[in-house]
Amino acid sequence: MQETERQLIEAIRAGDKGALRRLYERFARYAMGVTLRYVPTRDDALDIVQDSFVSILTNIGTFKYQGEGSLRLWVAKIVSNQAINWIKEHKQLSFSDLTSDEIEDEEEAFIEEVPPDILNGMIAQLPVRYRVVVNLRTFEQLSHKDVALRLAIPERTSISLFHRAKRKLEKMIKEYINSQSK
Amino acid sequence: MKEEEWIKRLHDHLADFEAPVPDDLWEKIEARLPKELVAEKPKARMVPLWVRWTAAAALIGLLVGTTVLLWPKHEETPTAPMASATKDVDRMPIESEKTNETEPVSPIVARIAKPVFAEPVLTEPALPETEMTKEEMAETVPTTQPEQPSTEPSPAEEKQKTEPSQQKLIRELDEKIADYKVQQKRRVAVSLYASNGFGNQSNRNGVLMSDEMLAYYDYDSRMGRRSTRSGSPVYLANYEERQKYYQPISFGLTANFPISSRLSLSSGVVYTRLHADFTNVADYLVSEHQTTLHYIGVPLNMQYHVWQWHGLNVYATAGGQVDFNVKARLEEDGVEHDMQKDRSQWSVGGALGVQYNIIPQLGLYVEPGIKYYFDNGSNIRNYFKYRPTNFNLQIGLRLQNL
Repeated sequence: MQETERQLIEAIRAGDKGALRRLYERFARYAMGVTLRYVPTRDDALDIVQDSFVSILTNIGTFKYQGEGSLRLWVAKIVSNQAINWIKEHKQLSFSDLTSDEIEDEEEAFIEEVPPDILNGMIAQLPVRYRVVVNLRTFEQLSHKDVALRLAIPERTSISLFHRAKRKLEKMIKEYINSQSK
Repeated sequence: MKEEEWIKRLHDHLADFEAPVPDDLWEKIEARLPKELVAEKPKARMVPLWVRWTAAAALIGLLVGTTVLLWPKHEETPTAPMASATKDVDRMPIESEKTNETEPVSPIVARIAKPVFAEPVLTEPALPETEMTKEEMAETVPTTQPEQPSTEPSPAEEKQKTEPSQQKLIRELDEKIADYKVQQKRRVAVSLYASNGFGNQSNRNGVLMSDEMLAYYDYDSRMGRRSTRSGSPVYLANYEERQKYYQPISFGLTANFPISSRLSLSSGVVYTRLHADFTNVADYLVSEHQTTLHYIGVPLNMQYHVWQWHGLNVYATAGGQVDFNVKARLEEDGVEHDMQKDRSQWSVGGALGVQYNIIPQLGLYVEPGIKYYFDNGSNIRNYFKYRPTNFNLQIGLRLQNL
């Protein structure tokens, strides 16, 4: 039976060296999945995961256990922050021009019909500013106010980017489903 | 499909998505970890920044206060007026009269009085307490007066001769001491203080649908509303925001520059820290984060001295301040990173102050006041925006007569 997050944290705090590795093994692939939604290039994503785990394991003393699942959420947040910082450092994130990318409304897309790895890849293929907003809004569960605060953009920009991203993703999903049905 | 529903479906579909990592990744991570990490116990509770600032300010105040209190008095007297007065009296003829009085005197009294007076001059008003009185001066003379050669005129003749010049000298001395006192009052004062607003502010509310979202979902026509603008607000289901704004804490170092006997202008540097907790609750997830904003401000205040009695001084102060956000941190579950900085924050305020002078050089003051923070147009949520009119209390030490 897999140890609980509480047991894992208690083991780390008790000085169990193996517990650090167990934490890594438990969440490394999940962290890679989160990272690939932000940064599609695998080598770059691996660098981000590596930096994230150094930060996670170094700062594990500050983690506040708030029930089963909170450690996983904390790991995801650190990975997400690390990925956004990486994107910013590589100057890929710009919100200056929002006039282009007019996308028509799509009919309801069937998200569940797309395999997770394909859907994850679709998000990674979105323009970077769409990708970041969708990730923060969907997987970090931030409100548009908080997305705006996190990215230093107006709230209406967050809303606008999210809806454009949603329409673009729905279009990609439809195209994928159509290609599979042929 | 509603935004929240779409988000939930996408979230749930990818919630457990994993991607493979190379086998040697752990070795690379382990090599970068601090050596002591494994043996390290949970970190001791970190002392918050504002506590450290408070301690630093208190320590500086204590050191400065102690220095002022323990500074030897005789080091203060050779200021310009007194020093020149001493030089004047040094040039006067030395009195030869001897008395039998042997009261001990302090070195400073002896130093000023020694060459001047031959006998008590009782017709002049007493000098202020902090200065040497003429009686004291006169009393000290005999104990320090050297004997004069026998060729000098008799004591009676000498007394008659020197009396007018002594009185003149005393008058000059009085004038110089009075000038010195006035100058003391008009000198620059330096204040070290701590200040905070009154009370933390908590807020709990639903999350409104924005105009863009209402338009996107075509909410008005679907719900039969005539107009979004005129209708009641629309809240997102199962969504809630909680905010807690902690009272601002400030530490300042200011200097007062006198303009007249009652008016003075003060300016300096003020550090202010704002902290807030935010919690977003969705029906299936709780997200928490904290923001900490550090400001450096420059105040400019006019101070009017209303009333003074012994060591007690009542005054009113009013002015403005501009604060610059020098650092902004966002913390999510124990992990910090930078966030967007706030714009410059302007404010105006007034206060009523009461100062008690512990010693002439050091006063303790309390200033209850009110401040109004102008909206700076930024989207940073903080105490200033949540409560633009803010009562505050400032407590400090004022070094004066420097």
